[in-house]
Amino acid sequence: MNGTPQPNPAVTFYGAIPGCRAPVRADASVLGTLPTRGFQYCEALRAASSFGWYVFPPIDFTLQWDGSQIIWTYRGAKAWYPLTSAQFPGYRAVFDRVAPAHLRGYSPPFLSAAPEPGGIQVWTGFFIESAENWSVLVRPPANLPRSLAFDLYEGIVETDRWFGPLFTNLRLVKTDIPIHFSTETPLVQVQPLHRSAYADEISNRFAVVDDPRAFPPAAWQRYEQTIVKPNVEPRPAGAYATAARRRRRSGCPAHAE
Amino acid sequence: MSSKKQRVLRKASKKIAKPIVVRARDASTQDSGAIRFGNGSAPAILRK
Repeated sequence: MNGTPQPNPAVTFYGAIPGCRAPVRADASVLGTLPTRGFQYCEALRAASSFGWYVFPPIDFTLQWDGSQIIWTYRGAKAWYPLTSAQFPGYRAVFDRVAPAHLRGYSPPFLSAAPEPGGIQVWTGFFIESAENWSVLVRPPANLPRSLAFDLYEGIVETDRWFGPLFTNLRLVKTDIPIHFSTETPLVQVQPLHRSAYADEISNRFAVVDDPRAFPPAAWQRYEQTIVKPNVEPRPAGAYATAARRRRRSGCPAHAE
Repeated sequence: MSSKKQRVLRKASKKIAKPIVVRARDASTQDSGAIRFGNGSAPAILRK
């Protein structure tokens, strides 16, 4: 979070663990890791990368899986511990100090081993809510090179109706090596999704033209416009990017209706 | 092998071979199990 109050936030992150790295707007350069050519000219890459917010692990921690049991440790720990379910270090007392009396004793766990082999739920330290009719897609950071040691599952949550901890599920892949998670590297990217965008009626409404001879003339005209012309006529690099940004600046599509 | 080389090798092997100490319990992360997210960590059939 940037600390600037927003009048109508699409999404609000509630920091439940004091001192954790706050979410930040996802970055068009993917923290400087994108190739310069892509960052400068590829609007598709930039738009996907900067869509939403990065959320970080609340503490540096390390997991190790032997194919059956998981052990873990964290910054400041003196040893490794078997993982079944664990609170953020020292958090139970913090939660009980700030929560209403009847909620004491109900602090959310930081890490929980799932029954599936290598499955773990990780809580980011934040609660989340979104504006009416907006959900959030919780997914791996877009275009950020991923660790080969684990996979993240993706999930869409109706956070306008469900208020709770922002967590993710991951699956450890590599065995017998320490798998590090750092507060310097985003764990997930949270993206706002209007419910209408992923409604079944939209996903079920699609068509396939399976033979180029059946393409309508309009499709050929558009192909000429977007692909052929830019290749045969000199044009400045990044013309698509320029047009897309100009369109975006002219108004927010969510409020255009 | 020179003694300096031996010292360097000994130091390096200590680093590599640092054993993992696993302890049964960490009081500061002890979880009561009162809260689970979503479907939780137990199969639905076992949940009441």
